[in-house]
Amino acid sequence: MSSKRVALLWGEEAYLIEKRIRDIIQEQAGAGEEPECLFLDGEQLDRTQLLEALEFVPLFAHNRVIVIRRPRWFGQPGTREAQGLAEVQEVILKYLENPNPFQVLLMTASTITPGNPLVKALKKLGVVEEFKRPDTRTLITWITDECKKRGLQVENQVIGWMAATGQDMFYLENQIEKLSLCFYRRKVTLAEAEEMVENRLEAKIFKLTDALLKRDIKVAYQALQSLLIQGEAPVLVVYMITRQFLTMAKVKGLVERGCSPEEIGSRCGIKKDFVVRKMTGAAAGFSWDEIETIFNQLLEADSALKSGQDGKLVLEVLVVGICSRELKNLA
Amino acid sequence: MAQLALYRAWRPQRFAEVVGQEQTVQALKNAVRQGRISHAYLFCGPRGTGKTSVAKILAKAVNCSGEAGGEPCNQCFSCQEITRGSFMDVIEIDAASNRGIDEIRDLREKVRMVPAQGKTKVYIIDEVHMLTTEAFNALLKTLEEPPASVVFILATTEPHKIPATILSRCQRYNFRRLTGDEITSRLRMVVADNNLDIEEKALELIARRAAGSLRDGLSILDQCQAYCSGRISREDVLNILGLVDDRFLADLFSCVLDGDIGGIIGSIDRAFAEGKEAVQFLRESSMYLRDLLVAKTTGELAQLSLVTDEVRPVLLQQAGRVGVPEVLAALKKMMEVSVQLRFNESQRFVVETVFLDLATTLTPGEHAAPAATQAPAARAPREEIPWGRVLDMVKERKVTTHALLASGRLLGIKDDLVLIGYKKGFKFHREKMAEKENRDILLQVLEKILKRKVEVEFVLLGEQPENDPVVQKAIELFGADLVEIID
Repeated sequence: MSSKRVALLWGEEAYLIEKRIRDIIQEQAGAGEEPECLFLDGEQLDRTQLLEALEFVPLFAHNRVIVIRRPRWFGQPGTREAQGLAEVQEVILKYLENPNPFQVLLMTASTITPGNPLVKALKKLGVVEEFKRPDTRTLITWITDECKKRGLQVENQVIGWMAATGQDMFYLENQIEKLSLCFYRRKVTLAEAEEMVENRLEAKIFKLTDALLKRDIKVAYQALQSLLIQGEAPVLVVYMITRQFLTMAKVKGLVERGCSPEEIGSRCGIKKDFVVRKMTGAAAGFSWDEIETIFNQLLEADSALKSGQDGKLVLEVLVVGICSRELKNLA
Repeated sequence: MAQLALYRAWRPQRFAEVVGQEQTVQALKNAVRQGRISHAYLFCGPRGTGKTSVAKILAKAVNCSGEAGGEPCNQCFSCQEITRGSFMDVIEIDAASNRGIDEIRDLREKVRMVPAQGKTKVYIIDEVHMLTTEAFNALLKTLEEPPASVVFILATTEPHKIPATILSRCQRYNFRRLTGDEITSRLRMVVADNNLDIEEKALELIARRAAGSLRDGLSILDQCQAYCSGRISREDVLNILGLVDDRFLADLFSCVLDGDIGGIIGSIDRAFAEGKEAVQFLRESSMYLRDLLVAKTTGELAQLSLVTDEVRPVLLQQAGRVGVPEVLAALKKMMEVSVQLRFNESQRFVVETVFLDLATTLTPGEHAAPAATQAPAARAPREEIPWGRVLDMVKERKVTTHALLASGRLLGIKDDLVLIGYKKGFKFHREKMAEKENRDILLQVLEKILKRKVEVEFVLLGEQPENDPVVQKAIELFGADLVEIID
């Protein structure tokens, strides 16, 4: 930690924030003396408690680290998110002018509003550090290190695959630990890792929706079974399928109007080129009549789920209906 | 002394006794052996797959003074107290009934206290997905700064309801459904240990109906043991659970595919005479249709939920006789009626009607095999009325007439008489529709579509047995002289 002794650590990667906190505490433990650490719940902290915490002089430690987790002070002023800002602003600004040289004040947040006066003051008089989700290359290095640390041997593709699962670092750390306990003293294959480590829900559902766009009943059925075994909510599955077919229908319409792939991407909110290509390819396989029938089936499935029908049955009927080329007759 | 339920008596006490879940058990044993216990675990999976049992074994293992190879000894004071449920440092919380922020705040206060009896305090929070958002936030704070010597084991059947922030702080283990073979083999062990006399086929049926949950399997076995004095047969299990035999359903659906109305009515009659519940009967029939659909569309991959290997050939043969759209339509109809059944008093009529409807829906098209020998020799070709078009054309003429007509249901056409049925509660609609102005609009439309003059009759369903479509159908097929209505 620099000479500045007040810091705001924020960002979406909580793991890196916690690691930074641990590092700072360790830095403070100079000459073998443990600092006194005080962890406060920012959500319930008021002005008086904050004042007390900042002015308290430790009896048994030389250094002190105060960590205030997720206070509601860094949002847009005047909103609920920035509740209590006015009350504490004065206390913190005053403290920033003359911080205790034996004390480090750390505050954490997942998001901040740049225009927030407290954030501005901290940028000027303290430290504001952002912890973004690391890019794939950094994540691969980190996963490799974590595996090595535990003596876990994995096939080469496993690390790249894990980095691409979209999970946060806390989750990945837990999964690496689990793999190292499950596969003690032997190499983990990609198939084993895929079975043990959870992908984000979207990734799993995309397997189903991609199969539906190709009308591949066997892959779609297997993907659906795996989603159901993992306990995914049927309503959510229907929602995701609807979203995918809606995008496909939009792409089809734009292709027919002669739009370029770039224009299609921007008008449908698709950022990746390969997704536009995939949707364009899929759209060619469905007529407008079939798309209309599929939307009717999605509506039926949604209403059936909400009327208390068996979720598994409703989804299986939906999947077969979408994949069946004869479905026009069902309308 | 009260007898202990089988699923409690057979609750595993060591990791080695857990059925299935090999990888999870191996990982947890290694964690205990190597002293690498995480501060929070999340056990996810369907009910009856061993989540709570494994949580208790883990609680014993981390507190056991005689632990060997990651297994609890079950002999020491801690193990015995935990088995009895009286160990102070293993706290079981049912999140379904302690779901508020106050309970979790209370937990946060108590969590800071050091273990009173053992080495590690273990909190087992069952059905954790039931916690409120505020309670989850409070729990997250505890998981973020876990006190030393405290282990949280969260168990849930619905992991998607758990916030991502909690999920990422826990070591997650998925408990899979047990296979039929795994359940059967454990049931065999229980049967042998308890000197029960049971047919192998009955055991297999129990395992199948347990749907991957060993606890359910043991509970069913418990019920059978209580009801049957002698050898427990497959029929006993079917009767106790109110289930319909898959062979019976295969025969019934053969009648449906053959259009054998007499066979359908007879089968349903037999099922009701045996005391089957209408709701359960339709549920089982839906599952049979589901198996038919899955077998037809996915072939070898099909995971049949009701049909056994014995009946599988019949199912596959039936699958060859119908098209996917027909099975889909039939299944949808069956599912809709299953929901409506709950609000209907004359459940048997509803069941009969739906099967007679299916006989039409599942009429073999181009997939048809040669007609079965027992099929009625002559089935008059049915005249179809494009009901959607009728409704559209009526709507073009008068919207209110359309609204009245849309509440009814086309029952069919016999010679020049079109029958439209109204369910109970739609008496007003029926009466208004029968008024001259509305009737004339409908007659004009029907004349235009059918290209001939017809008559129309509006009937109220389920009130007069004569008006019931099942009775009408029976009269139509067998003649009024032969049909006797028994109330």
